[in-house]
Amino acid sequence: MIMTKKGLGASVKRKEDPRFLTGLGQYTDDIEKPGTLHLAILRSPHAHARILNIDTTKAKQLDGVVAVVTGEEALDYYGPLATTINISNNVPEIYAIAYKKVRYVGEPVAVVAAVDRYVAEDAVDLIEVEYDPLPVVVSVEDALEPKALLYEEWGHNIQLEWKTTIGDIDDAFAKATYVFEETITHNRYTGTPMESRVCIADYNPATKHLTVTCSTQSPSQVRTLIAQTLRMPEHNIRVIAPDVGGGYGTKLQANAEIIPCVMSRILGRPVKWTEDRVENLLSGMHSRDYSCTLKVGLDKDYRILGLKAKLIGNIGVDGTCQGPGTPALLVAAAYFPGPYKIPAYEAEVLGVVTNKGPYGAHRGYGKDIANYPVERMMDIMAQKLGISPVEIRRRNFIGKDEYPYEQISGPIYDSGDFQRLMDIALEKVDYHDLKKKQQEWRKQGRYIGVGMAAMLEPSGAAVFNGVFNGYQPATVRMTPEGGFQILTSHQNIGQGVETTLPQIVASVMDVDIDDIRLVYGDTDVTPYGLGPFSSRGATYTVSAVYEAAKKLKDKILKIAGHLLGADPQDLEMVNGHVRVKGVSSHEASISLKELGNKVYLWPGPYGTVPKGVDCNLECTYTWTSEVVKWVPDEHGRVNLYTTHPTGVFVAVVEVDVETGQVKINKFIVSHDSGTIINPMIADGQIAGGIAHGIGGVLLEDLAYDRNGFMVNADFQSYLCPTAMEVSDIEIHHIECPSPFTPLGTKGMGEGGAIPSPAAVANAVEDALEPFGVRVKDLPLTPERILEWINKGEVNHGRS
Amino acid sequence: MKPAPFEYLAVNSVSEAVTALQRYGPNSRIIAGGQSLMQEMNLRQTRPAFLVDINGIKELDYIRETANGLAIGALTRHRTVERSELVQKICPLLQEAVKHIAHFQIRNRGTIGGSLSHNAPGAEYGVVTRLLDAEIVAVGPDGERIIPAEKFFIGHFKTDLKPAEMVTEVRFPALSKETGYAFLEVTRRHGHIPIVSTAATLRLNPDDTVKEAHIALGNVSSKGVPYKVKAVSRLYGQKLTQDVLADLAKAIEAEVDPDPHADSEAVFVKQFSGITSRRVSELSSATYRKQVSSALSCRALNIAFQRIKGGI
Ligand SMILES: Cc1cc2nc3c(=O)[nH]c(=O)nc-3n(C[C@H](O)[C@H](O)[C@H](O)COP(=O)(O)OP(=O)(O)OC[C@H]3O[C@@H](n4cnc5c(N)ncnc54)[C@H](O)[C@@H]3O)c2cc1C
Repeated sequence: MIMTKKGLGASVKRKEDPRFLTGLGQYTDDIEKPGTLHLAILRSPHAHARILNIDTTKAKQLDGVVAVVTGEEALDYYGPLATTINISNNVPEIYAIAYKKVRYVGEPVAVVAAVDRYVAEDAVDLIEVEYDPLPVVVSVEDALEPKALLYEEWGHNIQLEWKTTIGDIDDAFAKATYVFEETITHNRYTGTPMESRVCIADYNPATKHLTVTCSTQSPSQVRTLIAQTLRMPEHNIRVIAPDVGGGYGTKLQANAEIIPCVMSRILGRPVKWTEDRVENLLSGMHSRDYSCTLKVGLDKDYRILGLKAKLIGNIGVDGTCQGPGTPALLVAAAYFPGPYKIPAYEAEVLGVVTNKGPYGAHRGYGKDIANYPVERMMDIMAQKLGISPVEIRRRNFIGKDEYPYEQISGPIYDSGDFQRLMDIALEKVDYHDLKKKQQEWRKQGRYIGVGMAAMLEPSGAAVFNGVFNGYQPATVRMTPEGGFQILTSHQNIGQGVETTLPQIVASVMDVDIDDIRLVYGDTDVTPYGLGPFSSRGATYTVSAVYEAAKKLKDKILKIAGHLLGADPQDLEMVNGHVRVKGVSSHEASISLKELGNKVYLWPGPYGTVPKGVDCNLECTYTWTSEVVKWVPDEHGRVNLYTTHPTGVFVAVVEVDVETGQVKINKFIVSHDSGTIINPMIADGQIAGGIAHGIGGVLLEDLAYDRNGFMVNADFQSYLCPTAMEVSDIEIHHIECPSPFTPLGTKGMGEGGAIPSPAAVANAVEDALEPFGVRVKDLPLTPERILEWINKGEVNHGRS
Repeated sequence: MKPAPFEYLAVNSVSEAVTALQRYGPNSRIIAGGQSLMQEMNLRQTRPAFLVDINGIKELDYIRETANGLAIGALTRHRTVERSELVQKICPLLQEAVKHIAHFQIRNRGTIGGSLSHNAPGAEYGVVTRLLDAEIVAVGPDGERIIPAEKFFIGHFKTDLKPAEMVTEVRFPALSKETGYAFLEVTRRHGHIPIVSTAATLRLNPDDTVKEAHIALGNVSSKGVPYKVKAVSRLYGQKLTQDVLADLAKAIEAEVDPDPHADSEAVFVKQFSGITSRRVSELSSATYRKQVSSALSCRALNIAFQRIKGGI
């Protein structure tokens, strides 16, 4: 590998930041086409009700209103929402605007198009809807009873049911010296991107072309889903995604986006819908909200003999068409074994639909569900055995020489070294010293705790059946003037790809990254491909860009060889030139600009490009993984994730035992994501992920009451962490390159969010050991903490 | 998230404001810093038909020393109070409290008159006003009247202000040099509206026994008003020993009376699209708030004590 200052491995400052930091970015809402109408959506105030009648007369009469459309009227222009993903789940027939019945508070019921958003909202006030309320399904118990059916045609409320048993699980428990069982729950929360969803649709009745500008992670997929739902020719649809203010997985579908599309199609004018925060919290993508019962059998040396996991997820209204959330539960089932060696395994998954908002992706996508219960369980078992949480993990870690490791549940782990990660984390946090000091602090009435969680971040899912497949094309192009463009569908959602992808090409071509630009966000421009999800960038897109760049380099060397009269084998690319290896004379060298000019302009291709070489300076490569296994074996096992970053996260917290407030003092992270492209950006991803994890464990909660009303649908009551709640974060890297990607890179970006809730919960239990606190439901509100302190149910080392 | 249509009038004097409120009637509202009103309007939780903007009444933006304390104009921003040397000198407790209000961006706009008139559960200004028996000056069509804090707050988001009356000034007594004080609160997030807030003052006799002590609490009264603790009177003449404080803690737990049911009656409202929403960030149990009331109160007294002793 060629190393340049700005190439692979350098903490290059992000090329995209100057425009973001100076307010010169352009987001969808910044764009206003002439003649644009603005939409406001009437949403259901009921969690579950039949729509008896909608009267839009008064709304239509309001000055400035151009159209009011109900779910029934929209049926002439579209079909049910297309399916984003379907892995042995039940797929409902549902529409972007509710038809006949509403199934969650916030579901769209009617849409107004007006001259501006103010008038549109005034008109929404004037729509009269008659509802016939139905019994409401809020909890898993409600769903299973069933208190009511969301989709009558199913006859039940189960969207997903799946089970596998691998190895002799009964024998494992029979032989076990210790058996532990716990039920561990997690709150519902979401990604809260700073920019909510925004969509401008512009249908031209003359050309019958539809241009959709929207804040999305995956323009190509949105294009397909719109074509399928609107039943329009896909080749007449163009999706543009300008700057996107965060995604975190929540912008990987086209459900709400269908509404502006259908309105523009009806009206033949551009329409804009800007989602407000209330709409985003009610109807954007939700995640987590599960209960997981784990049963673990250990031998006398605390080695795991068997693991049983029973996962029950509260999906909400749907996680297949509205959003792609439901299979996250299956990802959890594939990854409960995590960093540990498990000889016998059983997993059972149940996903039920309820009258809560849609279930989608959110930083973690089931890997977090696999992590939190298991990493909590490791600590709970250690407490009960009276041993160290370090020791129980160490005894069960997969050894560094066992990679590639075929996990019992199917995944193949590419590389890693958990023991070393643990060593580093403990050393950096000064674990043994902290544990000693902890006793002293307790005497002074200060309750400080240390908690850890091992992290496994499967990245780059190749999901069959749907828009989350396992391929990625990239085109690398040299311009006549000798600069480069990378064209890919991999959207910039803040993760730094405008810098990291050029770093790859810079390394291959030995040019400055300022001479390379990433071009993305327009389906008319880039090859059809996937967007950033499943931390797939450094697995798929980086590999595609790398291979495409190598192909183009070969071509450039062939042309240069022809022009210099040299064997391409003897040539090298140095600092924007092609030259005979090691020779610096002018005759033995040609600049890329000169070469580009020759091919395209002076004199042009004839005589410049050698026979047999395609007369252009661009190459496309579509990267697919060699290790993906789609066909389930007799146990239903597949291998969908190519790379697996790993880590050990340690949180140090202090709890105020009189008020129950938790303060996170610091996070120490030891981390491995294979070859690192840009350490600064990698650290940023980890820190951002930890902020998400802190939000989930301490603050964020999409809370519903018994009537299915969300009680905190705004940022005054739904609490995201601010800089003040995010602790100092110290990150240490090791690099175990992946054998499954050409550069050894591993996708990363969700890793911080996966283990940090368990690390914090474990630290809180550790801090409150003298009170015998067992952490139950999240988030860790001061009130809950105090309740647990009052209860003090755990006897350490004695049960 | 756009407000319902309203008419807007900017006024430059108190009399103009009062005339306007009178003319437009019950559907009119004053807008000061807008830090509580705007969000409720944008969510269409409230739909005033007329807004009377008092930001132009420059003469309501002041902090003055008076014979027995401070007079603060209703339009004075939280940030001004936070940075005022006069407040630091005469009523440092107020400054301590105001630092806990929100984030600086909000403190730059929010006003003391707005905060008191809004009477959100737990709000810092309300607690200090009640603790110090401050006086609120209101002007209406019938002229000026002076309302003691005890009478000013009457329920969740409700005050004694009559239609067409507005707050013009708040009068705080000076804290003597010998008075110890403290302000503490429990929030779920930095700068967030508190679950429970506590303000305390303390004066000692030469032998360190309590001469005078006061504690006020926010968000613990079933009536939705800042609450002044009665049980502190048992401290008079006693030293603040662990036992005495433990005894006080028990008494406070027994005395305060948060009522989550009354709270939720008051805080759930309908907003845009007829969707039910909550006007406050937190609802917490009575048990929790009782326990925290006593813990914060004892801590506040301890801090006040240390302040007197020069420990802080
Ligand atoms: C993110 C955020 C966090 C916050 N956190 C806190 C916190 O921790 N603690 C806290 O106390 N507050 C908090 N607030 C509220 C803030 O302090 C407000 O500024 C204050 O409650 C209202 O003051 P205002 O000047 O902004 O009033 P406005 O919002 O303009 O008005 C509020 C109400 O008071 C009425 N009003 C205003 N002035 C007068 C007057 N002179 N006479 C009669 N009626 C009047 C208005 O008609 C309206 O009904 C927060 C606000 C935000 C947005």
